[in-house]
Amino acid sequence: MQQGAFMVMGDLYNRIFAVQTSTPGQLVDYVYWNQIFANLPKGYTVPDMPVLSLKQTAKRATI
Amino acid sequence: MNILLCTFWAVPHVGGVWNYMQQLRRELEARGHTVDMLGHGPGNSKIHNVTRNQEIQKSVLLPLLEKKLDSAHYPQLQDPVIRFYELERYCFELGAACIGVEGYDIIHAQDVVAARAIRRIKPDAPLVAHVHGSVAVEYMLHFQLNPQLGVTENSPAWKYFESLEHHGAASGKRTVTANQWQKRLLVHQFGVPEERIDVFPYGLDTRTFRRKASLGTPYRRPPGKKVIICPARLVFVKGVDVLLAALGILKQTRNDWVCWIVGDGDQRQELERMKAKLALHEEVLFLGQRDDVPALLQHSDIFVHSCIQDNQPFSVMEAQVSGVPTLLSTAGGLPEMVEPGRTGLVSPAGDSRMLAKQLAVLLENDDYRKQLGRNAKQWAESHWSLDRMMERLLTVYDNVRHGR
Repeated sequence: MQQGAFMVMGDLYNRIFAVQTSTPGQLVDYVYWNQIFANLPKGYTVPDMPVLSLKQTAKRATI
Repeated sequence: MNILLCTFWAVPHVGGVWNYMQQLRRELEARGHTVDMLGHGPGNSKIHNVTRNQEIQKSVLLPLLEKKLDSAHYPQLQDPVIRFYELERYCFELGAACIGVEGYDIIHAQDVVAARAIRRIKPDAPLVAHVHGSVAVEYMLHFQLNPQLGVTENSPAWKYFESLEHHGAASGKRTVTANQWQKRLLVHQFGVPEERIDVFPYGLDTRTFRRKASLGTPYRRPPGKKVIICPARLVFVKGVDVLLAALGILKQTRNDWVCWIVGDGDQRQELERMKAKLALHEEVLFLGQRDDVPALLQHSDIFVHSCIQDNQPFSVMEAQVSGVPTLLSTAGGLPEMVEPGRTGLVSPAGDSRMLAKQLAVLLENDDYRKQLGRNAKQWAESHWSLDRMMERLLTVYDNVRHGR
C-alpha cells in the first residue's frame, strides 16, 4: 500500500462481486480502486462464473 | 496502428513467448506501428505496462479479493489450485483495467489467461488470442504423472484448466496457433470454433541470429568428440531427463561425444543428481542459461529436443537454420517441424531407448548426419520466413479491425 494513501471501505466496490457481502473493516486505496471501477465495463463481476461452471467443452481427448 | 501485446506471464521472462513478443515488437515498430507491452512484473508482485511505465502492485488488489471471495460464499473457489489461479487472474484483470487498455487498434494476447482478461474488461476489444502452448495439457500431464496429488479427470482442478483453455482461447475475434497440432487440440479437446482459428508458423529473424552466432562462444568442440546440444529450460515439460537416460544408454557403446545442456530451471538439481547416478560426469555439461546459443550451435553436431509437450520451439528452428540435424520427440507440434529421415528424426515422447539408438546412428554415420543437417537448413530458410509470418499476422490484425 502506498504511504499516505487515502483509504476507503472496500464495500464501496461491492458491485463487482457476484455475492455482495459486507466487510466493513477491509479498507482499500481509493485512488487505485476508483480508477479500476471507472474502467471496468458494466456487468463485470468476479468470480468468472462461465469459467468456474467447469462445463465439458468438447470431447475429452487422450493426452 | 497502436498495438498492445499482453501476457499473464512476467514481462520480461525466460522462454519462447517472451522471445516471440520481443521479435514481434521489433518487426511491428520497424513497419511504423507503436507497440506497448503489458504483463506481470518480475517476481510476480505487480502488473505493469513496461512501455508506458505504468504499474499497480498486487498488494493493492489482493486483500479485498481474498476477503470478499471467501469459500463460504463461493464454494467453487474451495479447491486450493482453483482458488490460487482465480485470485491471480482477477488481480491481472483489475490491474490491467487500472492501467488501462483503451485506445489500441489491436490487442494481441499471448496466452489464454490474458485473452480472457481482456475480453472481460473490454468486451468489444479488437482482440487476437495467440495460443503458444496448452496450459491445460501441461497441468493434465502434471496431474497424471503425480498421482499423489489426487487430481483425476473428474476433479474440479482438472476440469477447471479445460474450462479456462476453452474460454481463453475462444475470447479473441481471431485465434492464432503455429501448427495443426495446436489447432486440433483447441477444436477437439477444448471446443474452440474451427472457423475462428488461423494457423501459421513462427518466423526466425535469421539476420539477428547470424549476427549473434558470429559473436562466438568460449566453448569449443572437444578434440575427437561430437557435440550433442540441448538448449532447453530445465523444467518438467522439456523432458531433459529422457535425454539423460538416453545418454546413459549411449555411453555403454560409445564415448565419441559430449552433451551440452543449455538452460536453467527448477529441475536443475534433480537432473544433476541423475547425471551423477548415470556416471555422466565427463560427458554431460550443464552450461546454465546463456546468450550464446547461436554460437554454440555452430560447434554442435546433433540437436536434441526430447520434450513431453511443446509447440514450435525457436530452439529447433535455430538448430535447423544452423544446419544441425534435429532429433525430436513426438510431443505436441514437434513432428510437424521435421521430415523424418530427410531433415531430422522423431522418436516417441519419453522413449529414451529409441533416442539412444538414433543418437548412435547419427554419431556412427557422418555422411547421413551431415546430409540431414544440409536438408534441414535448406528447408528451414524458406519455411521459417519472418517476413511471411508478419504478412500473415498483419492480415489477421486487419481482419480483426474490420470485423471480418
